Amino acid sequence: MQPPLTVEGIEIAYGDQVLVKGFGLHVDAGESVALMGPSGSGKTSLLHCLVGLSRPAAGEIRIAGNPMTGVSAARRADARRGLIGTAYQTPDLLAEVNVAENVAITLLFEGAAREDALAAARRSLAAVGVEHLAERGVANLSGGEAQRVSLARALVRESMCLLVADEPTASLDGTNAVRLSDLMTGMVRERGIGAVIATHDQRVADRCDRVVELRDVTVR
Amino acid sequence: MNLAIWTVARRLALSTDRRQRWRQISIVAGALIATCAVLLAMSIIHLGLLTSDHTGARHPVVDSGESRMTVAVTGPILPDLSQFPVLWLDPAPGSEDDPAIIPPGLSALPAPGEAVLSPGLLARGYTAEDLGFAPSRAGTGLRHTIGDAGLASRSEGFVVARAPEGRSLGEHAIASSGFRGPGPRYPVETVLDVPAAGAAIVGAIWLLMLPALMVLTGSARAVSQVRTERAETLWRLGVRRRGIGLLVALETLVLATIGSALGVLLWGVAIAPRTHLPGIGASLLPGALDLPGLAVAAGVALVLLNATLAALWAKREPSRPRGGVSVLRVLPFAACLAVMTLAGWVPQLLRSDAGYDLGVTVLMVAGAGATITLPMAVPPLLGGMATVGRLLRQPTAWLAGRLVVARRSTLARPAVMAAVLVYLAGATTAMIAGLTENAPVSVLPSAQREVWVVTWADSRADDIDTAAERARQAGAETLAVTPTPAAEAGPEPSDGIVTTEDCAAARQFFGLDEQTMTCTNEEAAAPGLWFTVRFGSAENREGTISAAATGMLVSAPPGWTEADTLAVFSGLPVVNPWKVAGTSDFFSPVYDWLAGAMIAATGILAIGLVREIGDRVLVVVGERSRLLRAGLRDGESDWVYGLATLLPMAVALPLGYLSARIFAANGTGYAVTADSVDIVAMVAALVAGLTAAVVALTLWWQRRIDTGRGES
Repeated sequence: MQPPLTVEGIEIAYGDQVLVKGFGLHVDAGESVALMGPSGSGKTSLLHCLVGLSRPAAGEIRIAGNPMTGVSAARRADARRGLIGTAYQTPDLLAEVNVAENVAITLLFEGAAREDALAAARRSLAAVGVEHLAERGVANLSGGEAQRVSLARALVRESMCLLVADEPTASLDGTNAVRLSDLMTGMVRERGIGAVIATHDQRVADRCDRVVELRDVTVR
Repeated sequence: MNLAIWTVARRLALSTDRRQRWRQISIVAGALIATCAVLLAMSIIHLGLLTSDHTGARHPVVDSGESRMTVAVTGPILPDLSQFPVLWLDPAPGSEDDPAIIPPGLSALPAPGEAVLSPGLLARGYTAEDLGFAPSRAGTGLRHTIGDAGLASRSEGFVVARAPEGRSLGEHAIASSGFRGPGPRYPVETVLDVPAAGAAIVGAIWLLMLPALMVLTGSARAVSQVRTERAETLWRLGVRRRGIGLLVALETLVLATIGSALGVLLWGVAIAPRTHLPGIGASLLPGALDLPGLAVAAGVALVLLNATLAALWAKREPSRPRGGVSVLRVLPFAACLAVMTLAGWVPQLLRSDAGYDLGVTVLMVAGAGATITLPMAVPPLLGGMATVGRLLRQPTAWLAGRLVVARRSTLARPAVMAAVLVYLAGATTAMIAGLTENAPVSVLPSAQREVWVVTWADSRADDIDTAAERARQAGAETLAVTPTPAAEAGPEPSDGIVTTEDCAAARQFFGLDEQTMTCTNEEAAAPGLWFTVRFGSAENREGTISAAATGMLVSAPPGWTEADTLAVFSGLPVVNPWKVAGTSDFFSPVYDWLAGAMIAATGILAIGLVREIGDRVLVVVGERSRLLRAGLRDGESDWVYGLATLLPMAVALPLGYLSARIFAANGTGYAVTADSVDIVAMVAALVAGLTAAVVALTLWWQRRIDTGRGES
């Protein structure tokens, strides 16, 4: 079985400025890795490369054995949708549709029957403990609830094998940050998937299986 | 005023932050265009008032017991001028030197048989002799032409002529007390080449001011991330809503003032001093487009007020999606459509002559009203888009439908602009088509001959022979016209009878073929066949004519103009040629103005449409990442936002088309429009196609930028 994530020698540069060089990372199934580093160290840039939103200048990234480098944007988008779940500092929920529809949105766009997609969304919402919010508008959610809905959206697809989260607790208070961290790492272990969580919060890092300091591998 | 707010507003307005650039360009350009358009509209209204004033002054006062002269008006048509009036004057004995009977633009009455021409005729190469008169030096204008006081424009055709010595203006002449003083006036019908007051006011407000102010309203709501951030920061710092409103108003005012100042400068340099406008054939009177300083200030104030209020109104719109929009907002638009429909029935309802003018006024006011109310009507009607999306069960349409419903006010803006564009383009196209279709002059088409029926007043026994001989020498044929016997009188009281040898000779004279000119007695070939003069189909009968001739038919080879015909009848009073066959020389000179107004209105609205789509693109750039982060692909998110921009068009464009159709249909009764379904539909399809192309192009362009940045 292929590991959820393999990164080998990637380099991220903006013009002449090299932000990340020679970075490697291996994430096993059921493992959560906290990615730490000071602001500007390239955490978000690295995550964008992992999910295929950006291309690294050099190196290789594989998600469950599927290459994310040296392939077309369409192939990266396919992998992003099928294999990766994402959660960000801001939940990025669509205010125009309700909570269940937000969670089901990629399934709907893949042509799943509406009833099936919404049923899968409810299961995912139940898994993160917010099934009761399914029919609500997102404008009425608290910050913690919105992040849980965002996590439910990231985990809704059965085929996903890697969770990528960028400062998912940054806008939450301490209690909610800890709860969400426990929930994420617990779900990762339970589903046997991998996770890369960029964070500044030591409490979040403490709940992960491993911590990678980005400054250790960065050439400025 | 809080100095801190003013400082922030000024710095925000003039910020060098690139994210503020779009808003800066939008407002400055919007205010510039609006100021130019508003001042141009006011200039045209000024021109219209001047025109009505000058043309009104040359209408003689109908005699109220103090007859100083008799007057008559004829209306020849020249190929390069269309129809123009000849005002014939014959002073009563003893009144020759009375200043009251001197028309405006003349310093004295012309001598008998003389005429004063307008500078427009002179500029086209015509002299008094060309038109059958002796030249007069009584005009106060350049080279003794009619002075500005008697003109609507320097390019119009107009002649003031005095009856020849020993001739009167005939029994149909009107007794007049002159050109001054109270009393009803005898209209000197003129086919103007500049708009009169009514048309100028309605046209300028409807086709220039309203579109420009609509575009400015959109510009004042232009997206700026910088402004939003500043407002949010101030809000978090505890600044009250009123203070933030003031910030928005001042920021808009600073930018709009820059645009307005440039607009005034442009108007002052490029419009106010002009006597010619691009695309308009008319040569205007000097100062016709200039405005007093107070009027300019009022125009600028209108623009700045509009921009500021629009920005404040936009601030009130919530950034988050909101629920329903009241359906009541459709009512004003529906009322305007209903009034436009009713306008077609006004003459029948009132059963009086005043009904015609009132009906046209109601139609035009309701037409302008529909322009203002259409934007209000679109957002409430977008509620149905969610249902459409759900019914399609297609995720792109579903999500686009939900976006449209949730953000109907903002997403409706490009569609509203496109709808108004369709409406105004359709309505003006119908009016332009109406100018051609509703021409008051009909001529039997003939490529072989140019044929006129000519009448004159105070006819003498040898007039026919003299004119016939002159015509023969000039290369034309003539036939004497006698009145139709009472028993044979046609529908037109001026119908007459001419005599030819047979049908073939008649057809040769008129240059018509057998299909165009039918004879009821084709085989007859005896002298004394009768043909009615103003015919659709000729009727020939045997008989003899005993009545004296009262007019003449002149048949000339192609190339002859009405001036040549007038010259044949030189020395006769109230010579009135009327072309019955040949090529029609009548055209409406205001065509230029209407076409210019259409180009201006559609151009302004097209700029507004592109700007609104630009706003959408900026919003999409900000929002697109939400969909990508939610797991959608680039193409899917493009389709969602493209569709969300285009779906409102499906509601708005039919409304624009419907409005244009209703306007066109109800204007036909007043000869204001031609109900041209195909043209209006073509305009609507063209606008819809162009809009879709612009949306697709901008999304593609945005994708290219994203790809270039390595973001996908």
